[in-house]
Amino acid sequence: MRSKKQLSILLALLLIVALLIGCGPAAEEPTDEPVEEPAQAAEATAPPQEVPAAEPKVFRDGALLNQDLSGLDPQSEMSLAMYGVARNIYSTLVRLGYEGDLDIHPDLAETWDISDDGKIYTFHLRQGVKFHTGQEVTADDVKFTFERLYDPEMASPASMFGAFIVGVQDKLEGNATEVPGIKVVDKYTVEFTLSQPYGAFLAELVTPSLGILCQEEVEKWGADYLVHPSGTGPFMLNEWVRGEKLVLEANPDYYEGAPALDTVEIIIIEDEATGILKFENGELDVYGVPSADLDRLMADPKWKDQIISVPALDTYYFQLNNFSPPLDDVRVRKAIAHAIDRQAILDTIIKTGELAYTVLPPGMPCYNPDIAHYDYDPDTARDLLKEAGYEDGFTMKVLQRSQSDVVDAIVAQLAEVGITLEQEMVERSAFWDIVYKGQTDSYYLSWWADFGDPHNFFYYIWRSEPETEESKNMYVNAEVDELIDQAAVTTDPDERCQLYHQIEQIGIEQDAQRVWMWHLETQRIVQPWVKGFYLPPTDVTFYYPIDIESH
Amino acid sequence: MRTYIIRRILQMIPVFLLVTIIAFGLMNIVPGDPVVTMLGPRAASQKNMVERIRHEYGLDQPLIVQYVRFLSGVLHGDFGRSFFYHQPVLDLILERFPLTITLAILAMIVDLAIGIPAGTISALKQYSIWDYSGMIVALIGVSMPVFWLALLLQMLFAYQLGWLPVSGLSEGWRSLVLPAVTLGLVGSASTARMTRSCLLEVLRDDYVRTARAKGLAERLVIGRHVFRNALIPLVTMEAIGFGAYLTGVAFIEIVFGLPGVGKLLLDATFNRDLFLIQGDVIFTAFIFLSVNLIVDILYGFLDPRIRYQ
Repeated sequence: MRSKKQLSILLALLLIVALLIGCGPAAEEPTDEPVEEPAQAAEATAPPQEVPAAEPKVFRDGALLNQDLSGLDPQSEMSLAMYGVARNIYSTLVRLGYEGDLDIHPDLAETWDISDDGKIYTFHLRQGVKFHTGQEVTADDVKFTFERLYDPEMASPASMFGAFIVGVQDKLEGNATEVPGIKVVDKYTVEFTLSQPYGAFLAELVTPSLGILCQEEVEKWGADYLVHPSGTGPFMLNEWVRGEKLVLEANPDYYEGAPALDTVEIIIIEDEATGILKFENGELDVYGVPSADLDRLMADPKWKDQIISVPALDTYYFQLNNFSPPLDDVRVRKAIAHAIDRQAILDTIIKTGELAYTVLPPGMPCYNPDIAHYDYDPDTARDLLKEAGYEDGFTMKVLQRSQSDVVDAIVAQLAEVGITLEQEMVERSAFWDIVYKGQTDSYYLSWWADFGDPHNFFYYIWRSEPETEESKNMYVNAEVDELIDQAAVTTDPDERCQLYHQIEQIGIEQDAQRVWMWHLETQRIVQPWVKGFYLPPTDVTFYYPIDIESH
Repeated sequence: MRTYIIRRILQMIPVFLLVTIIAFGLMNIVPGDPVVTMLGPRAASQKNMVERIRHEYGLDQPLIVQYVRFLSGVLHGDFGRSFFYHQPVLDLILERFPLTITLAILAMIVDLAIGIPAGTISALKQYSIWDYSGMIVALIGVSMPVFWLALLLQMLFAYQLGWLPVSGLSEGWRSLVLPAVTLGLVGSASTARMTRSCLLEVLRDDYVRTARAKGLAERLVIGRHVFRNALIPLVTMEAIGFGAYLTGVAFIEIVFGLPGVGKLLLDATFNRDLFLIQGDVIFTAFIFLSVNLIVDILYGFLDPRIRYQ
């Protein structure tokens, strides 16, 4: 008896010990192998003698990632999160300003020429720029980057950029293996030929998805390139603890000079309550401002000056399915537009931002607020419904991915004029499936600019061909499509803006194809010891100008 | 004893197979095309690409063929590649498992260290102030939402007192204190209640009275007889609880920023990361089955009656 009892205790202990030995705790070290650090050039000499060894300057960003990235290949994923990292690890041919202006600045391309007919762009690359892994950047890398982007096997979501380059569509559809519109002229010169004089081409090239890749490294690593990125940006990957954080270190050879920061830690934070707590505890240097905490932080003298709010290049809208009766009647659509009290929602629920009257946000070239407004007017709404034969109202559906106070408010407001809005909640994947097939009546969504040109809005969320998510099956107007295409290839900026305004008049005043809701700001809260932090309207931050004061 | 163990292991196999069928089947019923989700809404309009990827992953084959491929892969330890992370599924799971198991063990220690003594005192001093207060606290613990407790503890120990980090893994063992305590505290509530009721039941039994009548010291009565017999249902419950900890508690991982197995599965579900979901479900099933197997074997030692069934 006694020995059996001792045996069972011994067995239990052995099992526990075996478990502990077999799977050692990983809390102390990162669970991923650290990426090999590339060879670094000798640091600049002659520091002043009086300055003692400085503490390394570490910038901890909690705002960028609320879930892990799939990889550090900018062509594999298109999201603000990917943009934020890719912008700092890679360089594009041209970029936006560090301080948030929408002007085109040279990046990897030092200068460029545009032919008179607006179809040929010749870029002259900086010479002597090295990738983080040591290879020099040449025009071959540029061509390789774009060829890879349009490779149908890559299935890159970013392949929608550069659509006007000659031969891109053929390659994407598998009818060609090369894009003739991209030509290597010599070691530092690349030429892009467009099928049409597309005015927004330069603007598109700033998109971080188009970061220039190192051909040698990509070919060497193959599928594993995702975790072995090599770019020419001011920061490079030092360590990636999957699911926890991304650690970037300064690139001392960056062609515009080494950055002030030594390290950037991008920490993945899924829960807002935890995030703001971490920030207030001093564990983060920047974080977003959860709407639940906005009032409290604005009232707190310690934090109110540390909140940065910038009007962002975004537009939120309540999409209507123009094919689904009774929404196919323009009077009904106008009635809905008049029935929603947007200002009230903005004031009580969202608390920041401004009303939208059109598809473009202020700050975008060709922004023109001179368009008919659909002000809150429930009486007019009821009249219009009566005229359309829906005096007693009707029922329609709204599709949601998650609970939303905004949608709840719309439900209540539409009920006032007799429209019953049935809420249908599905989760993310199913949501896109249903929207893509046009199987719902409405949804509330937004579009954030990828680059600073109106084409980015009109083409992707308004045009009905090619079938992108936001416009498929919800609205088709051949005249509008034609005008959008025409505007894309018009080189005279005034003429372009006129065309876009014409489109707005048709789509908004005549067709009332959806309800434009508002433009929201993007916000961050920053620790007082952080200097040089700029929040651009694209919501993509450069880490390069940031500096940390001792504290 | 040996036949008992072998029999139990063999019984695992049909259960395991059933789980693989369910895991595979569920993913094919749920709406939301994995390829569309992977490509993201903007690119899903390029139909050629979608077809190509479906073919590459064998998603265009009949379901039976897909299942057989899947099963043979599992038996070879090949769970396929994650759509989202582009890494082999097994690697992803094993990368995160050490953290999850460490947390599970720590939480279990806290759980048992608080729960068993509390439940024992309640049972031995039944109807006393200790009993009532203990059980009320336990009731609160069982009813409390885990993430709320987590936030409370974060605010107190990290923010107000500054003793521990709010979240993340950056401070070594200190990063695990709050998550383990949070999980353990909530678990200890059920442990305490269970311990109490198991002990009470056994305390009423005749052989306990006999032992006391024999003149055996109370300490030995409790330690040698009562406890060992009360252990059996308790061990069952703790095993299930430990299994749950091992498969990762997603709430805790999210709130405390720990890259564990639970969050991996949650993210995979939202991303419609087909192979990762299937792999994780299989893995979870395997863990539970193994833990239960070990527990059943332990039973065999604890209670001789069981192994002769």
